[in-house]
Amino acid sequence: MKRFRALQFRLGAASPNEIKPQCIAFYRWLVQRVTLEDVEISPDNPIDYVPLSYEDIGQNNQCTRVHAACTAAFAEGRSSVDVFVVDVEGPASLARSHISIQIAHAVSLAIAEEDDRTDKRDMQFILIQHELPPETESSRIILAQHLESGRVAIFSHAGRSTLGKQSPRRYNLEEFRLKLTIAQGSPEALLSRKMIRRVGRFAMRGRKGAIECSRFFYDGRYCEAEIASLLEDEIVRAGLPDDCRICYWCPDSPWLTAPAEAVALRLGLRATDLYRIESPSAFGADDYVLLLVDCMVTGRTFAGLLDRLLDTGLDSSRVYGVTVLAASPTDFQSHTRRMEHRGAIYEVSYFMAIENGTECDWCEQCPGYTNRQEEYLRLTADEHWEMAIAAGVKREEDVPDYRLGMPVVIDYPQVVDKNAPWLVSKMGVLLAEEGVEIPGSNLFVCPLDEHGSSVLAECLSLLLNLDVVGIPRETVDTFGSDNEPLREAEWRRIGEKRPIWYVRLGGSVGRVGLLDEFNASGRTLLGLRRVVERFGKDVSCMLVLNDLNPEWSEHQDVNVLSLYGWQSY
Amino acid sequence: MTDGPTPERRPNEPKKDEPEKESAKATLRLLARPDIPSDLRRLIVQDHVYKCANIGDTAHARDMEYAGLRLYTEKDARLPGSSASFAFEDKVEFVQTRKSIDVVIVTTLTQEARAMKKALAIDAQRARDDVLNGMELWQTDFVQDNGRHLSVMVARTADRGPTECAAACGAILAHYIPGCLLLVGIAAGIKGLLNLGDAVVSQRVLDYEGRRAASDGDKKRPQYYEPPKRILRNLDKVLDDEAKPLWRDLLSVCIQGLRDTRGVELPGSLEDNVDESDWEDGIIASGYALLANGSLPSFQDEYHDKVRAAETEASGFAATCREQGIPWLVFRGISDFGGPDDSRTRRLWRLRAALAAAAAAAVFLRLAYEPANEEDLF
Repeated sequence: MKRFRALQFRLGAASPNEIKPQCIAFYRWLVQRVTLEDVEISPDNPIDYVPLSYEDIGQNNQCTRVHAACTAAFAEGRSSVDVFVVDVEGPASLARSHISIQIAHAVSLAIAEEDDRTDKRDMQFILIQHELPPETESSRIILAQHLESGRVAIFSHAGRSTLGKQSPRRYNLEEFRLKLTIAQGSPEALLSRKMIRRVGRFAMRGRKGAIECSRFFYDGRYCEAEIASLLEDEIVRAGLPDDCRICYWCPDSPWLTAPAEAVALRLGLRATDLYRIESPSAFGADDYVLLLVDCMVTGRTFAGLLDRLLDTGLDSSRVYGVTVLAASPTDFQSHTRRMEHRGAIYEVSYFMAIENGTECDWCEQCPGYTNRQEEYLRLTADEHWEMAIAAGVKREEDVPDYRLGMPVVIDYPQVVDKNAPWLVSKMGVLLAEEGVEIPGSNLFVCPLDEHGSSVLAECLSLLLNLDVVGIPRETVDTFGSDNEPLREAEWRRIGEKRPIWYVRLGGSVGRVGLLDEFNASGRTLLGLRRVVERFGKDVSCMLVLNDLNPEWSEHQDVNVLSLYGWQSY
Repeated sequence: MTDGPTPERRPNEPKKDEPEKESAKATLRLLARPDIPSDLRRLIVQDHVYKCANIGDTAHARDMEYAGLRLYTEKDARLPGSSASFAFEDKVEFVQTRKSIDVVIVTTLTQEARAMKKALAIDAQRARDDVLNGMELWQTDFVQDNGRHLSVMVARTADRGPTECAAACGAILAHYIPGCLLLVGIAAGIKGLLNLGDAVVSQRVLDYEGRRAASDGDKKRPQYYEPPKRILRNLDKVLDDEAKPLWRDLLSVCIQGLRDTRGVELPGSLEDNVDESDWEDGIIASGYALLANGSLPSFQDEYHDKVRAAETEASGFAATCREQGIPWLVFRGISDFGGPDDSRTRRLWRLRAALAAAAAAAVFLRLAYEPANEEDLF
């Protein structure tokens, strides 16, 4: 039985907070998967919570609280703890490399000290960070030897790890991410995973009133519950009076209406849709208004709404501003964006920071603005390539054994990381419009632990409530081959081992869909199909982000649905 | 988002996909951007070629495809070890190794080539610029009235007949990427509708040879070829009366220039005839037979009332251009009426008739022809 202890750094937090039970469960699960042994939490000080304020994060030297907290926790637990989990939590925008370096240094120091002892113990360290540091980054270099030996493992929030080839046998990515999302548990975490960011060129009114181009358009249709929860928390936290009136503005964002109305109903407040009334009725000197908008980029709309309210006689000090999305926040710690209007300062609270998206070098080539209200069924060429340009290209990873890697492929994992909610929402519409029956058991299968399809799988679960089972790559490849004896041998092997995916797929009811990030030769989809059919189940459709071999797809007797495609293979 | 103007809300409709032509335009715009890395451009150009292949309008698709391939090949070396399809690699190689020409004018007879060179002000004594399997080619820079420069090439194929003309066009297309092909030369016209020395430009080409040999007799199965709409819209600009004086002026200048040339045979009182000459659009019948039996007028009843002339190359020419997606037109000057006693007339009038067609083609290029370019395609 291994004992673990966790140290959680919370970026942007001002004071200690309660560690949720689901978070402890996540650590327990992760330690168990890494050590492959039964685990229990250390009974003495199981979790250390270290808030790192904005000022703390700004300090770039070795003697900050991060290093000190790590050293203290490691020293305190050295006699009774087998595994230390160090988790850096909070907004990704606050992550700084010097925090990782300090943690790495403290870990390295603890291992060196332990190894010098005569009664040394084989301590392990699991570090959870926003991104996996590149091999050339200092923190990775400091830990290189221990990463190699397996005493230290780093995990990114996306589920990538330094375990390399060992990781697929220990856990799968979608499972990791789902558990992390549940662990983080906050509506904020879910909001950031479910908010759709559509790519295009959207007309918006700039700071000086001229129409400008914005590259992104946000759609919160899948996160109404999270927005309602955050809004309610915000009203309670700010201590707004009971007679406060919620005035909301969301002509382009119908997803804000229900949360605003629901919260008003729950708290017994009045709610007013400013878009639907000519002018708000006059306010008295004692009235209090929560002005709620969907998004704040330039602040011009917010200022216009303030004008409407103040012109009715409302006192500027009795307006509390909230926006669901905000570009260029002024204070990450307090989640606010400051704006000055008619001589008054407003600290507008926001729930999610977004990219500005107004910097575009190619406006002169722009064929016209994207229609916010209409969207093509599949991705347009502009949409697809804008995402690809942002993600870049790479040599193909996760190449099946039966073919050579392609010289360059779009970095699909990056594309998916940044755009998963949008892509998945389009997949949902595509399935519906094409009349493809959603599998009765809501089950899709995909290759296990390939980053792109895993992120898609997680998002399919979160947004469309579909269940996705990952099948190990070697099994998919074997079933995709023409060697029938080999396929039979693999079938017998997995039947004896009965891995989790085998049990889940075998126990499913109805038809099953196939999912992959892109299709090149068709062999992966064929392999997945044969696995599913070996269980005696029918395949309902093959769903891919990009079909690079439409000629192959046309010859299949099952619908191959893709959001984009061209003949490249 | 709230910072933009409020759009109109529309009822839910079945969702559609972006039209292939719009996708191809988008990929073309991306290929014109200098900030995209070459390995990504390679993927974009593959996509561009694929989208162009799915566009129904072949002439436009071809223009789009070549424009994209040119943008790609101008800026990027080919990457080794690509797994892209052979068809794509062939297209890249094609664009890299072929020379682009705005217009190639195909002629058959020596007199036709001479007339065309005269109309384009190419010195008759100038040596040819290229030879393809015995086919002579002369290239010139032609300036349109709007100041745009066109690279124009005159080809003399030497062999008569639709198959031979198709083969000659195939040879040209194997070495060059023309923006447009014109066929210029002589034809027999319908007496009473046209005079000797008039010109006809193809509204359509009628291949009248097609037939089914049935037990109860042959059944006619004619085939029509229509030039692409874009080129017909260009042509409309010079079919009005305003362009005709220009044509007659150019024709007079060419006749005067050739009259003084040694060894050139031209019919008498030509200047008078020029004032009475005219040109119009109509259907040009095309087949293997050189009509000399007086049957041409009956084509109006048998095939189409807009038939104006008959000759022996246009059907092969038009079929090749259509297959390759290249914009095309046929200009024919009337050298005879296809009657049994017209041999001498034809011999006497063929240079004069070729000049009429050549001058019409030159006026078309000068005033009306708009080459497809990247800006139009965006």
